[in-house]
Amino acid sequence: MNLLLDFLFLYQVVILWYFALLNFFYTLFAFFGLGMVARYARELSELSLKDFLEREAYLPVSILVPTYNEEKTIAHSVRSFLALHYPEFEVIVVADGPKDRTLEVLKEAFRLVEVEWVYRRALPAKPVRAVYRSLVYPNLIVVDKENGGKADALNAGLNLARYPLFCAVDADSLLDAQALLRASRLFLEDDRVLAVGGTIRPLNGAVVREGIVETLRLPRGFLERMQVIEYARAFFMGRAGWSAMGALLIISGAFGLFRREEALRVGGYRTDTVGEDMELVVRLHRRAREEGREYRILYTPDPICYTEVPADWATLRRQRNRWHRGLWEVLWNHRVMLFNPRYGRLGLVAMPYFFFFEALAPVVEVLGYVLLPVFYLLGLFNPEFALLFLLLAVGYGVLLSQLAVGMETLLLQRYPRLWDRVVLLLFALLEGLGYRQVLALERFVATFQVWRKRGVWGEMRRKGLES
Amino acid sequence: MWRRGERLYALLVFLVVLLEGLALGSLVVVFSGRLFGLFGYPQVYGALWQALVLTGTALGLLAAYILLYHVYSASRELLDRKAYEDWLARFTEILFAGGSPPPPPWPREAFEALLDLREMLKGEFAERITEWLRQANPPWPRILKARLASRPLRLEALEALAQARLPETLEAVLPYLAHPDPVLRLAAARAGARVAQGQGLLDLAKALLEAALPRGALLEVLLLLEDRAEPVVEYLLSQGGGEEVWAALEAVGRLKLASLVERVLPFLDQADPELKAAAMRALYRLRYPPHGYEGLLLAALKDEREFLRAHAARLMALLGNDLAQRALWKALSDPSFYVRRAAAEGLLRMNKGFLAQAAERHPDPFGRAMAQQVLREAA
Repeated sequence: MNLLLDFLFLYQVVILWYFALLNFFYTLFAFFGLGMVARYARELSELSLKDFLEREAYLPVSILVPTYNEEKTIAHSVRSFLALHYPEFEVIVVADGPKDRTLEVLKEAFRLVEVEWVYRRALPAKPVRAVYRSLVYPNLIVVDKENGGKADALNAGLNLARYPLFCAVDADSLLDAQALLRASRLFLEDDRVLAVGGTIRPLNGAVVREGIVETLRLPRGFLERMQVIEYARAFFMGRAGWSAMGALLIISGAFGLFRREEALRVGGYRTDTVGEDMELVVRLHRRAREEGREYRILYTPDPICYTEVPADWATLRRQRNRWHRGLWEVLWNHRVMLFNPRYGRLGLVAMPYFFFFEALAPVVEVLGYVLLPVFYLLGLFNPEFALLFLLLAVGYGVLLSQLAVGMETLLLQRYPRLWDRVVLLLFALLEGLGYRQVLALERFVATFQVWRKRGVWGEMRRKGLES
Repeated sequence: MWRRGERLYALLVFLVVLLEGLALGSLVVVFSGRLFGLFGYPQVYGALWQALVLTGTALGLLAAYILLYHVYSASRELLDRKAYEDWLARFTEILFAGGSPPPPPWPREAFEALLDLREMLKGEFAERITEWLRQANPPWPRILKARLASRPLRLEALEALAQARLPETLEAVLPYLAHPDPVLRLAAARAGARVAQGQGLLDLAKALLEAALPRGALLEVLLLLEDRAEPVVEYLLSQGGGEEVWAALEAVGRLKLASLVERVLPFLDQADPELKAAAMRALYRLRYPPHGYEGLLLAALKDEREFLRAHAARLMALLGNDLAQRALWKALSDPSFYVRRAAAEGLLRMNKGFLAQAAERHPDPFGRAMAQQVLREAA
């Protein structure tokens, strides 16, 4: 019995070390992230953006919009892309064999006509059925192709893209008018930059007119509000922190800017994973490290992309399940990088972090909950101790969320109403009491579905935008 | 975007992080010590309680700061905005109705309003504003020369000088082109480009050589010079290294500096493919047919590097002679999509009928398809 007791205590200590190390990482991200956001905000010059816009010192951009069943949002989204403040860009919408009226909506909204189009098929992709051009917008191209998944659609778009930079966006997203301008200048000012990721904000609750976000307000739904906090934490702590440390592994599929030639050189998007956005970034890192090149992959806090986040549990759980499977797939595909000093801090810090504290975290967390009754039945459960520890864990989570809310609302001036800020602070308190556990369970389940559901996306239910 | 109070928030975050680090550290030590029997349960409980109290304190501090700062900054910004708008209205009225501005010293909002007006207006009005700014003896050159000014303050000063466009302030800006901080160097280069005139342009060119800016940033700076760019670009073409020459060649084309065409032509014979391509792009943008350099263009059309072939095909079309026509016909069967496209577009420019023939009779099916597509687009 004594041995069992010692073992169980050792288990608790290991969990505590895990908890401590995880929070140490979070603290590090908070620190680096805040520094990075602060530096960026101070260095950003509105005057230089104006100069950049008025002169020819820009790199033209191809915006790739893969779309499946998006009849409710596609016209708004494409309008927002066409309204961007940028001197030269093209929008390539790739309809990936939609089953709804996505293509018809596009044809009606933008007066599309079919054209015969010769293009370079640099990447393999499912057959293209037709290419359309708009009679109203000369820089809009719509591709109708057989269904092959998001990555396949992006590869088809890359084949048609003409410009040195491409921007991959989700069809349910809206870009801030200056997003391209702010992100693309990083490529111009530094030849080593291979890719730049921006900040994603939940679109739910925003007031949108003609595809442009006029006012950002908090959404009404509980889940949507929770995701506002989650996104703030993920971007201002996680990505900003990793970027500041030169080891950014994720650029969201909803908005990322890449050098086209570099993406083509590594073979474009992989079609056998649901984490194609992260996978491409890891592959770019890997190739550059293997070639011994100097390069940079950056997160920049300001270019904003607004995206509709799931408003119901079923869609949210499917999304998180997919994200988690994507993470495992990427870790598996690039397992050679794990603990490999050849890949520098990527192999020694970032990949191990993602393995232990992102991929395995739900397993540790759910096992912890499952073991509670076991401890209780064995008479080893100390309710007071367990409660204190739970409170501490929740407290740390809330603290990190509040730091992110502080950055979002005060420093970046979003959600300007006092009531919105009070609500965000209150919801940060609630996150650890149920919401987090449900998603941990979904990610836990996803861990065991990686092989069975390889490449399976699952449907996203869209509400459409409130105009 | 950035608000005042960021330093206080950063300090608060640092404090919170420190508190949490301490709490977490002591918890790990006590738990690990308990494993080896060094501590009893009371100590473990104590550490846990301590961590909880510290976390609660940190949470309270943060929440209070966020709410209090909101209330403070919202009212403060309202006042600042009002002051700015009042000054803007006052200056605009004086500017258009005639009269003199109020005697300095002016508050920060007055300078902001005046700089915005300077940025917006051109000609005589802009000159009057410049004169007012000069008379107000703005603090920015002094900030740049001060030893103890902070980095954000220096950045602000450089931006303000860039907007003010006072040529005599160039001497305060130029030393920053040799600053170890690349952000300050770039801000200074931008400010210098907006400010420099006359002899100052050569000083700026010399300083740019020392600044080691990335070529894209350097190009941005050269484009900011607009119609004053020629002496700077010429200097960089003759004295610069690879990066500076690349930026200068790009600037020749984009600013349409036709007077520098003779300085560009020799770069067609450059060993560095990037410079050779930049020279070809510049000549193409100037629409200058490079007569006498046909051999080099034909050689570039056979180069193993796709981008050189594509640029050569584009430039070849400007020659407009039989040689070019034959070379572009041949280039229609190039393995590269982009070279075929450039060749077809070139043929369209030179001789649409010839391109129509290519669309029907070219031996390469890809060449035919490209010719057909370019014809379709032209129609």
